[in-house]
Amino acid sequence: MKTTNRIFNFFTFLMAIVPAVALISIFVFVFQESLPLWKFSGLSFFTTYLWNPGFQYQQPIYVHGILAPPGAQFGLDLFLLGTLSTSALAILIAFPISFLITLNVELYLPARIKKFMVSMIELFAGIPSVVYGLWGIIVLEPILFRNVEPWMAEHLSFIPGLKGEIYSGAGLIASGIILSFMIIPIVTSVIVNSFDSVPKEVKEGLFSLGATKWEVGKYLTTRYSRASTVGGTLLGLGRALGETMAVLMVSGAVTNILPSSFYSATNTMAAAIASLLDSALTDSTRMDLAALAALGVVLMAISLTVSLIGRKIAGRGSLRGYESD
Amino acid sequence: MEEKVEKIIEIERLKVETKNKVILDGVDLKIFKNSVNTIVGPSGSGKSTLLRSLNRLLDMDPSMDVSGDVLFEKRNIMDIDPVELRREIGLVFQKPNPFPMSVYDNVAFGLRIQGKKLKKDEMDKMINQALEDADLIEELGGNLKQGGTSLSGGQQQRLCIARALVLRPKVLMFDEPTSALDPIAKGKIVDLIRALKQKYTVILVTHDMNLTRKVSDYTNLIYEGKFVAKGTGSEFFESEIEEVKDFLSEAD
Repeated sequence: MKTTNRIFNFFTFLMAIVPAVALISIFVFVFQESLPLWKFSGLSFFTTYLWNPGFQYQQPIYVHGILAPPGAQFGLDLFLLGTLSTSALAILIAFPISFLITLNVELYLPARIKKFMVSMIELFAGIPSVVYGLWGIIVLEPILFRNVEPWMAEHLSFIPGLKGEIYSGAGLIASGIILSFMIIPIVTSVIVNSFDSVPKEVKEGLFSLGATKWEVGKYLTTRYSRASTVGGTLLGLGRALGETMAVLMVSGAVTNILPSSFYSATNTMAAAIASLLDSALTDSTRMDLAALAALGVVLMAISLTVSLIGRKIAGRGSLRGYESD
Repeated sequence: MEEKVEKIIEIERLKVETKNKVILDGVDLKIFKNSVNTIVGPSGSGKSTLLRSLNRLLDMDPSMDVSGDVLFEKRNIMDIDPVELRREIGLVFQKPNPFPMSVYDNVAFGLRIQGKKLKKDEMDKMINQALEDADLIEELGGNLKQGGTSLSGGQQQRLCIARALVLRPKVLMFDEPTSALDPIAKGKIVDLIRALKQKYTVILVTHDMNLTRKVSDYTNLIYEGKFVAKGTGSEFFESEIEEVKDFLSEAD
């Protein structure tokens, strides 16, 4: 083998393993940073929603053999609940919209306009999240606060969670809506691509059996390309779970108060890390920092799992084999 | 001959064009009931487009501009709901396209989307009848739970025929149904088409002259978007028209 070839092979190998090494080393780093917290809190990290950095200007004390500010207590429940609920709401809003966009683009619009629409949707994915957040604060929150939420509280109060006081418009609903805007491009582009890859014979076959456009779209997305539909949705969920800036801006970024209704302020793991980091750095025992790292570990584990499953299912493409009804 | 047999479809001055190309250039054609009406011609002559305009599948493609009249049982097809029309005029494709579900569900598909509430045994009966008419039931040995896509090519094609038959269409269109099949599977389709014309009107698009000789009652040669020759089976093959002779010598 020629020397240049060998060098080239070596560098391709090196580049190929960089992502894997980077991923693992980030995880190891964050986990290592979080170690004091696990010793300090143990399982109570998962069983409380209270988050209190303690009195940083008093003499630190030893708890379970670890130095921490007195009164410190860390639990992820509020943030975990916020992360899961905002992401779930985002998917609930994003999926039907993506589905309808796909049907419209694939079955109703002329090819020329379709191209334009698809590129517009993809452009949406490029808007910085802080811009979404700004829009959320300036436009969305006032509308929710003045118009939408009072109406919901009055007319939909029979639905659990929709009865309650309205505070500011910031919270779960605003976060869910903003997140859904951010993931619609991902979900839509995966479903549109899978729709495009359905053989023409299958589409024409469905039509020639007297299926309507709606029936064709429903069958292709929920049955024929079900794997891509589910996979794309999970990829979107992965994005929503980790989104930080926009959610931080519209969630109300609350700590220590559990939401009492859908109108309450909330907080997510990602937003909490970003917003609490500054003060955590002033903790000389580094316990506060360890607690945020622990949040990072949990968040990373959840979103990596979701993304991996999503990628795996989406990559499988259409289910070509036998499916029983 | 033409006068005795009832016409089920009449095509008048049908023109199909895209921005850059005329695909069908104002064609006239009559489709006779309970006969095999064959449209032959070289690739790209507009055969498949003609079929797709008869059941308004072309509506799906906004780049196609369709003008002229197609009368189905004396009614203009543009006045018929396309969904209803496509159930009356079934289409079987060149490449077998069963859905990734069981044989039973494949055949039941059209019935289910029709939204008719059929009793289980009624549905079973219709599905069995369709599979029998498509000459498939024996080969499957009664196992309708097996996957439609795991059948052989010829069986898949007959499954697609059964899927169309179960809707009780009046016309069944075949778009080069044998070109993706081996000789034995082909032979079965030939027998099947002959049998089907007892109950249905068949429109067959092909460039396979052997198949045409075996099954065709009325043969029409299309060339660059226009019909250049029409005739009953034997008339057509003995025709002195230049294009027919050319096409036959090339096809054989």
